[in-house]
Amino acid sequence: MSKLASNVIHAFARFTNKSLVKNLIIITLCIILLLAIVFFPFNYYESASTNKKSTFQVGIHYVYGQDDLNQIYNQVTEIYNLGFRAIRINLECNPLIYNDTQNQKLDTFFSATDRYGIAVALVIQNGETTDKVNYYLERWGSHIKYVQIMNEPEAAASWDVGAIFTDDEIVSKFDIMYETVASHNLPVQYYTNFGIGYVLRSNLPIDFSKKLDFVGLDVFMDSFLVLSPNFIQNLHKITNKDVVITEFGMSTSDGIAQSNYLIKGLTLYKNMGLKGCWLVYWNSAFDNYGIRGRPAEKAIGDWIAQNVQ
Amino acid sequence: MFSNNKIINHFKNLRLIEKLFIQGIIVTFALIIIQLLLDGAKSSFMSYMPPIGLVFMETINYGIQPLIIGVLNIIIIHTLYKLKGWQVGFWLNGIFLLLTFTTINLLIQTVWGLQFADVAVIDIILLSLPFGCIARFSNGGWSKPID
Repeated sequence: MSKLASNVIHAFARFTNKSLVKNLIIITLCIILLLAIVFFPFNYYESASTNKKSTFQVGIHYVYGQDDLNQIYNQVTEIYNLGFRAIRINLECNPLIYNDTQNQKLDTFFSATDRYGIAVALVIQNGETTDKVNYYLERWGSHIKYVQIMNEPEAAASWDVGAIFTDDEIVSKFDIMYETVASHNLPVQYYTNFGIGYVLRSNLPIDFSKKLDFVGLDVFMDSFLVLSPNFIQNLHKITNKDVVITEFGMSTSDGIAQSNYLIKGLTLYKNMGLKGCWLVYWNSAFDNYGIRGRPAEKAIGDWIAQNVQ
Repeated sequence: MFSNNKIINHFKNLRLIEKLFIQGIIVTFALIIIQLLLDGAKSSFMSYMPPIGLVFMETINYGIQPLIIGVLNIIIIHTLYKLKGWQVGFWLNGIFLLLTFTTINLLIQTVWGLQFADVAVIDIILLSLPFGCIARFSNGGWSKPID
């Protein structure tokens, strides 16, 4: 038996010692290794069974402007009751009319978030003016915990569709907006979010991160969800800052698919040890991103109850 | 003259397991040092006229680095095993070793949550011999002169 085994091993060794065979084996192994590098982190973190509750922060983007004034307080209550501990909103106000409905909605919104102790992340979009930002922060700045300077700047259009921001434009715009916000001396944390495209313009997160407390990554689509552990690790490596998933969502009319996708992502990011993941959106009038009143709402509430302290 | 060097002859007369260990430790060291240098220079590359810096970095990472590793591996094989020529091209051999090294490190870092510095120590202490076997298997030569 041992002679047979020895013969088999020697025959195998002779066979693989041929240049052609060895080349084919090496090429096949390279392909397998490449697939392992791409897919292993996602599969490991997504399937890792950690039953421990953590301080992982689940947040959500609330488009309060699409709701009536008298709905907003209850909506914040509902968001809080589901377990969300951060709400992300766009900077929207009317600096010209003090009691404009838009401003009243903000007053109501912040009275609710203050009552429940929900952290508010303010998104300053790329086209905002410093006057508007100053007005907003003077009036509501004390209610805000996170300030997002610019939104996915690496892929944003500067003045028209297709006219991508040049590096100089982005950096100067960022500096102006950062100085504007910093002049208010608010106890806020700064961040900027990037899409997957940051890989091609990595100088932006590297430059910006010097002034930021953490960096955001926006994840959409299954393919980028699978690849996101690699992108997150790379972003963390080049910026030396914590990475938070600042936009994560799926626009589909299939409520179950949306729910499964979101739960898969939340599990992944919690197991990766990230500080938080903010979903888009709570409500969404013009597409299917919103989770309000859909299967994802309950599923995520249950997930938070089971996984978050 | 090179082949008659006493030190080289001493290495050639070592036992197989010792040769594999030496081969593993040299290749592992080379991979770790290149990795550390690339990590250190990553921000500079990324910030250099993007995306040109990225292209340069990836060219070094997946073009030049495998060539260096592949050449180093065949030199070790020639030196330790009295062989000539090679069965697998330098680049292919190098990229295979690089991908193997990267995959092993990725597995360790992901499962145990370690930093690269910790993984490098594990690589050298525990994985030199297996890596030597992989390096030896992944290329070879012939004991007779090549025409």
